[in-house]
Amino acid sequence: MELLTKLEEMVLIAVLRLKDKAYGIAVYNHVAGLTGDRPAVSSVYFPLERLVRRGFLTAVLGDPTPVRGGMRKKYYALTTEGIQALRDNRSLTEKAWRGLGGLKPKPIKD
Amino acid sequence: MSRPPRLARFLIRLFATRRRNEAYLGDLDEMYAERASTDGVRRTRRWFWREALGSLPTYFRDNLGWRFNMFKNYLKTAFRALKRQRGYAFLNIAGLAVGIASALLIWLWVQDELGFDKFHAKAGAIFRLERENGGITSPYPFGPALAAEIPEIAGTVRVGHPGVLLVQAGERSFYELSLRAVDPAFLKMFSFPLVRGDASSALSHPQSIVISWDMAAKYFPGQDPMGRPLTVNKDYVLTVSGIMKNPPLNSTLQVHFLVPVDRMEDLRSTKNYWKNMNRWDLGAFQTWVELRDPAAAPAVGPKISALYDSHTEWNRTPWTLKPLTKIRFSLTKSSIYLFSGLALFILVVACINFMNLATARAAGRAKEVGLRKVVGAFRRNIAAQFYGETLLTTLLAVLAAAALFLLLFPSFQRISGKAIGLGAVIGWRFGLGLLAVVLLTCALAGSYPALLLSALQPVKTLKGEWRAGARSASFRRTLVVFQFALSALLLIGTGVITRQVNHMRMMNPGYDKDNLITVALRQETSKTYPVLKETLRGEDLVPGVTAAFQMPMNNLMKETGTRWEGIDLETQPYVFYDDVDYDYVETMGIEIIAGRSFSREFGSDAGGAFLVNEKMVRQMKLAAPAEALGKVLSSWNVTGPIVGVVRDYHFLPAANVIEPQVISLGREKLAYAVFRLKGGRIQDALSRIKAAWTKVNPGHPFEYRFFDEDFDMMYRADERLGTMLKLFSGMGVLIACLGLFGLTAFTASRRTKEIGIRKVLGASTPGIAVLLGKEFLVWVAVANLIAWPAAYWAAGKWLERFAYRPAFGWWLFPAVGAGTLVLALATVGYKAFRIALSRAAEALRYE
Repeated sequence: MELLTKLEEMVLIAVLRLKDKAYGIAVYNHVAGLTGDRPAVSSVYFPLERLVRRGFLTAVLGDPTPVRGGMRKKYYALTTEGIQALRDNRSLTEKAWRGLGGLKPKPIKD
Repeated sequence: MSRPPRLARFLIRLFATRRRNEAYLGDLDEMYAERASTDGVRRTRRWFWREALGSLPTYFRDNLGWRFNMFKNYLKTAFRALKRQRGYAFLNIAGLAVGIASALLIWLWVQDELGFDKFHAKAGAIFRLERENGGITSPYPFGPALAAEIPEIAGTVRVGHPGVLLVQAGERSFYELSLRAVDPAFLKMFSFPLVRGDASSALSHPQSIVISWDMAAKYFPGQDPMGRPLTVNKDYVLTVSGIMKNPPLNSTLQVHFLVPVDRMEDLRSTKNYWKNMNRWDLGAFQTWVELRDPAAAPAVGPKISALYDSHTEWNRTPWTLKPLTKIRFSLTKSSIYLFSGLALFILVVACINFMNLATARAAGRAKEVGLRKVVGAFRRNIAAQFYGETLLTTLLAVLAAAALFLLLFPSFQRISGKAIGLGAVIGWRFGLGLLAVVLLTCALAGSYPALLLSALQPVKTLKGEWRAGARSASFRRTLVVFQFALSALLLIGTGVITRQVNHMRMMNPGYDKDNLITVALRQETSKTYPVLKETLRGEDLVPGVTAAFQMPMNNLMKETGTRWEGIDLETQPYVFYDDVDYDYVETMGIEIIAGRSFSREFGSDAGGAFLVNEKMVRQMKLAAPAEALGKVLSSWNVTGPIVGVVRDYHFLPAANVIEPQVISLGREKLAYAVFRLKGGRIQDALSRIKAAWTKVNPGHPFEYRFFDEDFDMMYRADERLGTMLKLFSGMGVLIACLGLFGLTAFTASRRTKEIGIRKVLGASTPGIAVLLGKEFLVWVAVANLIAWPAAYWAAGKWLERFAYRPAFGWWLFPAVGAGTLVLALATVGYKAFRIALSRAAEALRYE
């Protein structure tokens, strides 16, 4: 199975949720909304492009719109490999957490 | 609606290459618009900048790594290309190196010339008072009067040149020429800083003397000269009151001793004559003027003339102000233009050559370009590769040029007669110039392969359908024509200059310059001169002894004070004046065409008598020389009849027209003793004169000069010009030939197959050589035809300043034409024959 980094996982989930509206900014906003952080916009492009290269995402250029000064949007969509990778990583996480219950903190005695 | 900061946007475009897609920029723009409406413009702009700068580290990590790998590959390819075509590469680099080195040398020379006198802090505001006809001396009271009466003038300084003086400090005594009597303000107007002493008071005491660093070491080695005595002309004991830095080499004023200006009266070697310095009708000083506003100079000139005319009626030639920084330039202007042009020529030819060969070398690499494109190179990558390679070869050439330059520099200094300090000239401007040359050469030489080859379609080149050269043939032809035209121009120019210099040196000056020595007479030795002459009378080894105020070639006494009957004062006639002893005309071998020479048999001669030349006769508006005899002249307080007329002889350097001359018989101002030696027994004659001299002048060294050496010295500058021109035109021609050689080789290699087939079909070796060479020969001939009119025009311009010229050397044109053709033939022929001699089978196996 293919391991994903946390950021890659978040990005894939974002693309999954955004369906046909998944382009750079939308993905960024989604991820930023989850973490509460606002890192550089470009930081979301690296996982996006890496995921495209690994075959988990496809990218399609949309039609030019006047809003962005004629610049086209790049839309991302999950491939079947991408969906598989998400599924694998989710079950991996669950497997790893199994039996740890609510993870209650135990105070350390002196 | 606000827009994202443009610079930041540009940076993103530039650096975000991996995501150079529009989607990224578009996203950012969209986000910007969104944020700007919520967060406010200022915060959003800041955010945008963070985004832009944040992409830099990744850029460097991701991109430069790759670039470095590609760069390594390019470098490797470049060196392989150089190695594979070792011969071409060598010609290519050597040609450019020679060109750059020559241009650098010339550039140094020009910079040195242009930098003359610029080191003075007030250089721009200092002017020399001159007459409109070029006279540079002015009366003693003039300077202070100017400073007092004309408000535009900030200050004036008088500089008096007392001639050769005997300077002594204890045991050490030397004759010195570099002593000047100056106003105390001299040290403030000119930037000759004092190392010791105080500039404002150093010259205020009448007994003070300021000496240069060199003179301090010469007269007071290992001691502190301050306050020590220095004796001038045996009678005047002065006290060293200051030490100044040596005047730089590029200073027109070469002064090593400064004394207060009123000392001039005492020090002047022809003392009696200058009894009253304060006269307005006597010009013995240079007056330097500092203006408050340099731009006012043209307006101040007439005021100066008016002031002068209110004091005297002596000489009404108007005064002008000549800028200090223009003094040197006005002397060497034509050489500066000539050599700047030459440097440009050589550099252009070298660059053309470089470009030509680089093009030729690159043409063989169409396949490489094709392959690079197939594996994914963009056009700009290919272009960058070729520009880079050109830069590499250019830099190699610059290195070679630097080596060559250092090698040639010492001999160049000797030839040019300059001690150019490298440090003074090589600065940021030099670096900038060199950079400009490198970049320009790169741009010119690299553009052709970079733009043409990168545009090729890979399929065609890989299939071998594209053949180099078809499109560039006419271009290359033009280049060959151009550089050979320049070479021919240079050669003709060199020929013209050499001929002119030789003509002046060989020309009959109108007197016998050989076997003549001169001895400068000082204050005391001029007194004993009559005794010396008497001692040598009748001596077989020394057929002539005489003396003169000035020697031919060095006659500077141009004046307007001479009067004669019927003179037209409106035209301000001037004459050149000389004072001589009896026997001058006979000793020098000047021809008398009417009347007689000065003679003791005519007692009246001693009371005042003149000889004039033919020009003077014409100036007096007399029809024949004989008519001048008996006419009365008055000049320099001497009045007397003209007793003889001499044939015009060259008392000025041969570049000048012979001017009217008046020679008077006088014994006061004799500055040189002149001896004619018996031909073939020079040494005996010299020792005879020396013996007589030592007897008459004990304690005074016998320092003589051969007149013909001084005579040749007058042409040293022109000779240097000739030598430098020969050197550099030789280099220009060499470069042109290198280029031609490379081109022939290139053409030949492209036609290897054709030649093979021709040979198989029975073509002869010479036939093939002609086939390869004839094209170039035609173009060299065309180049000559272009060069000739240009050369004719330029030579005419240059020759204008010479009054006496040899018949124009028409034969130079065909000679240079034939010469360049032979050179081209040799260059092309060598390669062509080698190709033609190669075996046909080998030629056909190529590929």
